[in-house]
Amino acid sequence: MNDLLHFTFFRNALFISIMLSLLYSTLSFFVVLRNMTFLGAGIAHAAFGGVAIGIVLGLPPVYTALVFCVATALIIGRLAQKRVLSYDMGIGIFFAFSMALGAFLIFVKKAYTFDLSGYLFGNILAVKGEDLIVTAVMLVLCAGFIGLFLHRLLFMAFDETNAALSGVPVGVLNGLLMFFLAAVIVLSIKIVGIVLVSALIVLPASFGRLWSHDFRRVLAAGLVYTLCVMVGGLFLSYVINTPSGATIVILGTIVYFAGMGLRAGVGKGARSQAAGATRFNDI
Amino acid sequence: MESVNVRLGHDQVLEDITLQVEQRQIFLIVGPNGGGKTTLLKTIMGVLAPNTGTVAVFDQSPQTVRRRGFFGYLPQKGQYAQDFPALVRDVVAMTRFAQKKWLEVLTGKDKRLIEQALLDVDMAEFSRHPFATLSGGQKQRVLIARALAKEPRILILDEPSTGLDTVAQDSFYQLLLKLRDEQNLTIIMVSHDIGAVSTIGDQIACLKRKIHFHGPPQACMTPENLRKTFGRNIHFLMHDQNCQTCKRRK
Repeated sequence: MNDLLHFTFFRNALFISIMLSLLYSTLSFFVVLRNMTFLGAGIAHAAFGGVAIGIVLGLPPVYTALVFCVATALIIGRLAQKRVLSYDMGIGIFFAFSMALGAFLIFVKKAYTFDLSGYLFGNILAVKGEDLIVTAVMLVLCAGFIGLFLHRLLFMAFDETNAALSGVPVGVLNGLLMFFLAAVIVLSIKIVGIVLVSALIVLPASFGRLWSHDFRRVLAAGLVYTLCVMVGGLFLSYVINTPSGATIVILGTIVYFAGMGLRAGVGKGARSQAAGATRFNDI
Repeated sequence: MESVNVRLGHDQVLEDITLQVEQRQIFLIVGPNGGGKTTLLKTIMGVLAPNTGTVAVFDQSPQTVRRRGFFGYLPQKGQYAQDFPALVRDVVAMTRFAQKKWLEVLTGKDKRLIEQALLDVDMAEFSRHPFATLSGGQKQRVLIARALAKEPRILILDEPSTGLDTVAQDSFYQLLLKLRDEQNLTIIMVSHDIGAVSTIGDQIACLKRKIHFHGPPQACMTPENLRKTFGRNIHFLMHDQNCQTCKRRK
């Protein structure tokens, strides 16, 4: 394992995975609580259109994807807020449009030579030092945003109408949440890939909610889970020589269902213990 | 509220509404689904602006009153996350946090208000319980506490009894009477359950786009008013602590 850490590409991948784990677990909490899990998939697929625009224009695909995804997320959010389209309808339309745009542009440009598989399913060799810097900046910005507005974001997730009535700037916070979600999804493309990243927007909070009804513990459990799955999946992918994104998501799904089984077992144990105590008391 | 008309898109939702709500009263708005009840509440709170007519609360615009935190609002059941992962005190603290500036934390006064609000609704012992594990009636009490923690002067409730069983409903209505009498709150409550709410209201308005009646509850329950409001013949039986049939049987 120490040998592995001597490789710069692997160290880059490890550091970016740790930083992304913090971002996933926090943003996942708000996405899942607000029943916007489909939004992660929608924005991730929009990234394909953004990557294709970058390739056609000869610009860095990650940055064009970032602009395209943020714009898409803000448009979907705005349309939903104005009740022009529901979130699901907006995502469904932009999801397909962005994929179609990507396929169209790649066909027109005849750009078949770029690493399509790497963008779709992740390629840790592609992670560069500059990606670490951009991710670290995003982590600091996102931590500041959540730290400043945690309780307002909780209020909004609990009851948006009442939050707005009580003076919470719902429109601005929604926009910022969409921005960070889009940014994190784009930054994940190299490590997890466009197709698979939505799983990491859903799984952390879903796992955390198995264990607690208190948001502090849900966030903590989600963070521990994401760190284990990202770092574990990364090492595993190297050892068994498989794509990093696919390995991380398969491991994450197995751990989630194992957690669900364990939780059900713990619940059943507690219930039978309680029933036993009742029977004992009856005697 | 005088001669208020509200249109949403092409639909005339409220027509020529004139209402006056006295302070320290429980004012009930009853009517069928789609009759404009929630729209009326939103207009009172200044969320929707009337197309014509005027609305004044304590002689000020509803928006000003809302900004000053005078409205405590309890939303409809489907409007908030029932299984939200937060402790009861976290839920009550939400309205206190919403009134703070960016980096401000809760002060001793805020914490006292939160504790007092939970005491007022008899939920102090559940302060550290998860909200998601409470019963429907207990959740409603916590949401009332959340509204009270804001120190409101008007409590606005949108269909608060939906999904509660008879015992929980009765207990909830007793709590409203206590809040009116002990905290001098004005309570405006919307419901389509005329039978239950008419026993606690000081004033009632029957609403189906227009106001078909506005006055004391007993005078409202005429076949004519009920037909105009609910659109069909309804036979209404009044049963409360003053029920004459029960007294005769005893």
